[in-house]
Amino acid sequence: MAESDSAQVSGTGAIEPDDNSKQSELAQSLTVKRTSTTAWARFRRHKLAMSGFALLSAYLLSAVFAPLIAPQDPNFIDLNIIKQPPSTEHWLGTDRVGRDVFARLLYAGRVSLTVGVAAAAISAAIGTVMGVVSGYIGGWTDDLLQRFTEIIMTFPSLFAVIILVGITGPSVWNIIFVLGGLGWTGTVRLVRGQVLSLREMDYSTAARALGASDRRLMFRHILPGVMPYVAVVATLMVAGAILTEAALSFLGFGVKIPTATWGNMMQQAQRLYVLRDMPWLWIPPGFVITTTVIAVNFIGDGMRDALDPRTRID
Amino acid sequence: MTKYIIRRFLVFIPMLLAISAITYVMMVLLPGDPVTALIDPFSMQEGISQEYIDKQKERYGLNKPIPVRYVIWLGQLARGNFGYSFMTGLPVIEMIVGRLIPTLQLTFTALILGTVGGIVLGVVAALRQYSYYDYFLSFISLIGIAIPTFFLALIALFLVVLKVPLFPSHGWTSELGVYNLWDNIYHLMLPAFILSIELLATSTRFARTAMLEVMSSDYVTTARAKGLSEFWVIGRHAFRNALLPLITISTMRLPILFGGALVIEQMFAWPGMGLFAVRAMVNADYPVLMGVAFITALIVLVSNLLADILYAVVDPRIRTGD
Repeated sequence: MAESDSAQVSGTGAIEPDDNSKQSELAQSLTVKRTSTTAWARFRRHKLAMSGFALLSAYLLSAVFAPLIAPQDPNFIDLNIIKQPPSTEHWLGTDRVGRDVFARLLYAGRVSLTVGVAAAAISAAIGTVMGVVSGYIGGWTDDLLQRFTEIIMTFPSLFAVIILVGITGPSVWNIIFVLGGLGWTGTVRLVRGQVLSLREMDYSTAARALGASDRRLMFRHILPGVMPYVAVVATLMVAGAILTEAALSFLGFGVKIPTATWGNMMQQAQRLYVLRDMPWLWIPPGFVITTTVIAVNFIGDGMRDALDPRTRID
Repeated sequence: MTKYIIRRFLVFIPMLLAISAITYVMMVLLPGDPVTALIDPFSMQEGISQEYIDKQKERYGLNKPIPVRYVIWLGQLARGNFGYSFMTGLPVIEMIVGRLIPTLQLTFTALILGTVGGIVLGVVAALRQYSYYDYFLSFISLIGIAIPTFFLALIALFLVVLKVPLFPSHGWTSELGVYNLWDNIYHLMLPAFILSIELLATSTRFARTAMLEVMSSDYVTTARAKGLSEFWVIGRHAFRNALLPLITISTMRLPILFGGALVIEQMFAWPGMGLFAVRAMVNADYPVLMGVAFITALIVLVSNLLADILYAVVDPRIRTGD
């Protein structure tokens, strides 16, 4: 995916292919060490991005293989072993009804990561289509779509999410659709800005001169040019969606217990004695959320740097 | 300038109408309706006739089509009537007004703290690029952006309230109904600081990048070449240009701050609109919920308007060119 992206990035530039190869020959003769040019190769040399990638992969794998790793069923209630601190048997202790916290943390990852990725994908799709249409068509369509975006941005985000989840009911998929359906505003603005400049490029004029229809221009010529930017914001939006879902579930309006999510696991800490005496119940999920968001942000920054040829990565 | 403000106002009005329409549609869509909500649960045992429900609906005007009901609602809204709470029967506006001040106090303290603090930290980091201070601040702001507000609040409650009791755990003042400014500020400090962290981290990063960019631009070099002292180069030339966009960035974050206030008010029992709205949501008290949603959206809209005007005042390019 990254390699095709890089091809699209260079394809959108006004520089002729011949020029490009001459430049890179020149660059090679000037620099001693040859630097790789594909986005993926650049990404791989980005230390922070790779460490984020490693951590996120570890979390993803442990969520996918939760049934193999988890010591017991995450919803298994054992009233004989309630409120136990971490031990060799229960690595992260047990909660108020004797469920294993480590097992719940692994299974919670399935829900929280799915919500994050799926909501970001929906937002990215809506934002991209609206941004391309808005930027390419312009005129009153553009005005209307931009005002609509501003209105959506005006509503206090978490507030709107709580009300809409109240309307639809707090199932995992409803939460995904609500978060995805509200989170696209930043993408629209970014994509629109890019489309405005790509539309005026020589290759667009060339395609138009060859008789390409508006739809073909929009989706075959301009869309590929904005995709790298969309990939970056979509990645960063995963972090935002994970945080919003966590806050929603923490307040008790999200996915209902017994299904565990990182946010609703921390809900118990609203009780004073849990907060004070049972830190193993709320520190692990909080740590996992924070590190996931850091990892996702590193990956997003790394992608941005890798796709931007002006940034030096070393 | 006047023309710019008028044009900006003309956009404001349709947006306000759109927001009221969206609010109304959400209220209609939420499950449950006022008629069944008002029925005494004990009379349910004898069974309620459809006839009775229809009669009540007619009495409250609920048999009219939705667009007609919206226009009536809007007319009342314009007169300041936000409807009545399902729970208490009191006018929503009266209930909200008392909770507006604590929320505004919390969010705007966090807004100012986050913006001003971010500028100071970020500018200093830019001036000492690659120092230990710079690295440390980058590291801290990474965490500040990533950490959920409620997790940070839990850590703070655990450390500086429960383990070392430096700050009060909850409330707006120590005693209910007794107002004392210093006591109030003492209660405000911790929740406002926690709420500001995300904005603080974001604006620190932004201020650092913007400052570095401006410091390497030609006109700063020119200013130095003219022999200006570093104080004037930074204070008059670099600083002002680098930080203009922060006005927009900070006000754009206001909706996020209101969302964060919802969580913080819940955790610190801060008697603002967020705490009120969460209770209204739990009790399915929709008129209250919609009142809060509309008022917060209105505050955001007005703040955006003020920010745009402020921006036009400080940056002449905005009002002249388009």
